[in-house]
Amino acid sequence: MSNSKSIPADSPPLSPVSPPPASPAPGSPTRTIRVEALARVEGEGALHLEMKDGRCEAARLEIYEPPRFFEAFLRGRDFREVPDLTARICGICPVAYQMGACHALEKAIGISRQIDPPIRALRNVIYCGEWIASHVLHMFMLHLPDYLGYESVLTMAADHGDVVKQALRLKKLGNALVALVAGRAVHPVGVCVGGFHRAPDAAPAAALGAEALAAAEEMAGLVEFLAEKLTFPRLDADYEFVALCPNNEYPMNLGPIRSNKGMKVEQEEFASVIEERQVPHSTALQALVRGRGAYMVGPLARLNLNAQRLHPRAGEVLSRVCAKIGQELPWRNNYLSILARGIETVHALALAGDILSAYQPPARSAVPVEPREGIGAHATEAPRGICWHQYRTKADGSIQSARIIPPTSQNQACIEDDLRELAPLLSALTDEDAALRCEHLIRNYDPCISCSVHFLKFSRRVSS
Amino acid sequence: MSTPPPASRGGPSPGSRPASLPPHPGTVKPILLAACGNLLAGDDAFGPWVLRAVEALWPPEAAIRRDVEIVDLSIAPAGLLDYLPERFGLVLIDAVQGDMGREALVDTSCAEMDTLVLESPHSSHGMGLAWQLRLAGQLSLMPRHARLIALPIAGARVGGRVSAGALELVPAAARLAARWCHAYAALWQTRQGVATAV
Repeated sequence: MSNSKSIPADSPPLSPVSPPPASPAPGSPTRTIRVEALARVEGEGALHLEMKDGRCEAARLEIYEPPRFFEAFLRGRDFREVPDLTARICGICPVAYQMGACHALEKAIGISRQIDPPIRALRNVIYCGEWIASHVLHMFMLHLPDYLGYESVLTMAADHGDVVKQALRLKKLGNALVALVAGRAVHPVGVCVGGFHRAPDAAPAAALGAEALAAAEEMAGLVEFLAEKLTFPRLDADYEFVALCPNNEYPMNLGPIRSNKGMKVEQEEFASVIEERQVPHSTALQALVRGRGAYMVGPLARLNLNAQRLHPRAGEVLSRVCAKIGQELPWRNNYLSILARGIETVHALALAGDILSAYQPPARSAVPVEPREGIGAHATEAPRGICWHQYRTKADGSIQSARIIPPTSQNQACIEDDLRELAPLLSALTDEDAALRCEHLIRNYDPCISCSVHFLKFSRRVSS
Repeated sequence: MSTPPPASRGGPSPGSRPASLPPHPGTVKPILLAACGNLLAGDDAFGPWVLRAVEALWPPEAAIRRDVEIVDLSIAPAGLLDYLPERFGLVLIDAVQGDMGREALVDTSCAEMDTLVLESPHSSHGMGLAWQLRLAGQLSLMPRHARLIALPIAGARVGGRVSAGALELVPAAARLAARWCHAYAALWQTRQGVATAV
């Protein structure tokens, strides 16, 4: 692993309200910290940390959620069915799986250059909706209790009910944007290869656009408030940040893939610069940059690599946030990811608002598609980072092969690196406090475990 | 556990409400009928299956549809909170784990929901149903009336089909859900009538 990190020993405690001491563990030469079921993450996973004489012997993010074999059962299906099937991979980010599939399949059947600009704009709107709903859910319901020292959003809401209500309204607006463009927020049904089954009407689009612009101001205030009030544990890590980097917009649907350490590839080449490996403790494959190791995808990576392409309103918020926390980009501290998500939410609200305010229903909502033999690969930016799809189609339009690399499987190795770095600082803490610190660190990544579970193809060499 | 409301208390039967009645004030239908479950995970798909059965009970022109919004939350339980504000009644259908006694189907009031649903790993992703119901209660977003209809299951395996036993209970659960929707709609109509008279 190439990460070299330092977490100063005087890092502020994650929680101003410490839980009562648990089992007598601090100071003992050998300790194992286990969290059997991680809370406030999407999906089911566990944490296992072993320390000896203050050194980390093992750090594992154990993903035990069973694999669901999506890539296998896509084989043989008609290419037009794929967006509806991949939407079922995740309840939080179905749009990411639909967009990745559509773009990749449009390349496979040779129509990717024919997609009309209004369709591309609607794809940005629906993606904005997903970012808003997903980011706000994670920031305010799952992650913020860590910073404020609450056990959960329930206890937090008792003291900060108005903030929670405000967040719920914003989340609902994100879902409304998805429903506007694609029929419904849960597993949208309006997305198809080539565009959308129908385009939204002008009046509801304009109404929602105005609402989004107003909400961008609301969110800007919330993000600045968080920047001012929260205490962020210190961390300075030499991460490899990987994200799409389009020329003229903040990454969402398009763009080549870049990193701060020299990765520079077109979408189709991504699988050649990373490798996926299976580890015994996880049903999700772990992705690494070939020859280098762990890398990070997600809001912090996107922001560090693309800040100049933010919507101007989000750019203003970023400047003020940097001033408030006294730290310019690049941010090499993933505890700041909550702010990156907030800034991206402002961006998504303002962008959706702009597009919908000027929206007129397009002449056609989708480009006609015909089956063709081909191969196509494409990555889009899911809320949690790069989500890469590759499909091979047969002449009759059926899927010959499918491969999906979700963001959480890419972040897994990075999470385990972070845990190894954090481990020595836990020696003085009780098991309960140490586990809380580890869980907070994992939640920085907003892991979506359900999305990431995969399984390697099993092959056996038979010698006769 | 409680007895389902008798059909006679269930308000107008499907299709009996005069179409000339004005729409409800605001844009939110007073009753939410929601289900949660993974279609790809065996008996965890019970909720969505019941919703389909309710849809089949109510023809598209049924008047009850004017009062009830039907939402399949699928594997996105975190969406429930979006649908709760301004509702009068909630009927929620899910699969649950735990010792539910000898009942084949759980039909319970809002007051008992937390203990039932909180135990279910199928509702635990991010912010499960129980968390949201509690949060809704804290934030005064909870509908006045709420009901959970649930199938106790031993476990759910991804890739498994819905069991024959679960499928057998789908029609009964659908009728139960429909009755609660009618009962809440009737209560709502009564309240509206009183409000109008006043």
